Amino acid sequence: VKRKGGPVRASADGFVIDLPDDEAALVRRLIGELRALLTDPEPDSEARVLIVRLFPVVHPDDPDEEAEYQRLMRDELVQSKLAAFDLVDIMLGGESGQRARSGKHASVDEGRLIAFMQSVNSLRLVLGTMLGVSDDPAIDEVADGLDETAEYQLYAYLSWLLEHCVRALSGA
Amino acid sequence: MWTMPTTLEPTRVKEPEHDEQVAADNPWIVLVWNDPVNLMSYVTFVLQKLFGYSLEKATELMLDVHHKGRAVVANGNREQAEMHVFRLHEHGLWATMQKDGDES
Repeated sequence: VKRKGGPVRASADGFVIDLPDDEAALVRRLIGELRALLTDPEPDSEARVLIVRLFPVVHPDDPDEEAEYQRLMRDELVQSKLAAFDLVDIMLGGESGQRARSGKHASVDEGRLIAFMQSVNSLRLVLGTMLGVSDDPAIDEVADGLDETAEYQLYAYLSWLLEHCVRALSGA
Repeated sequence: MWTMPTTLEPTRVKEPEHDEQVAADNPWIVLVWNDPVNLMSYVTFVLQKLFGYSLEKATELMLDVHHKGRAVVANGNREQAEMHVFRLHEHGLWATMQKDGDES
């Protein structure tokens, strides 16, 4: 897809997220699937594993502190992520979405771009877990051919999108 | 076949360096741990954004995370540390907190 200046860039009054229809729909669909995972009241063991990177252990050496922290903060973290997903829906939304009103791109402020960036990274963390992405050379060997899978292509796409978010926000 | 992690807990690695004078007044430290998914550029940006570090300082911390396995990125009282951890988790970074001096 040809784009002038990349999928995310700075503009005169903020930032622009410039995704073609199919990419915007893809990101929204993935966000919807992740939202379903986070709001499932009784996730199975597979679902719990997939989202483990989104909710790291905070007190690895103190189970009581850990339980107390998670009791107080986990739901707030879930709500924070869901709020960011809602903003992505608004930014990339269909008929009533920001993107549809302004053509094929969404003009956003820094806060909304950060919400978009956080959401894209949440998707990467889940996909990375699903793919078993690791620094471990032994695992990489086992995973030979990984880059040919659809899931890895998706992971690479989200990495590319994230990198452009960082560049735009960093003024690079 | 890859093995899926069933929990996300850090393993012990080389001790990071941090400012001991500041730590004496701020008994909790916040650590960011290396993980294979978060982009180096992203980690650097998040550290700049959340803590106001210069690009040089944030890059130095990110490289500590990458090469040493973890880095102390902030310290403070308990509430401050919890807030830092929460915001790091909002961005998807792997952060923990502990009392300074509890590192073993």
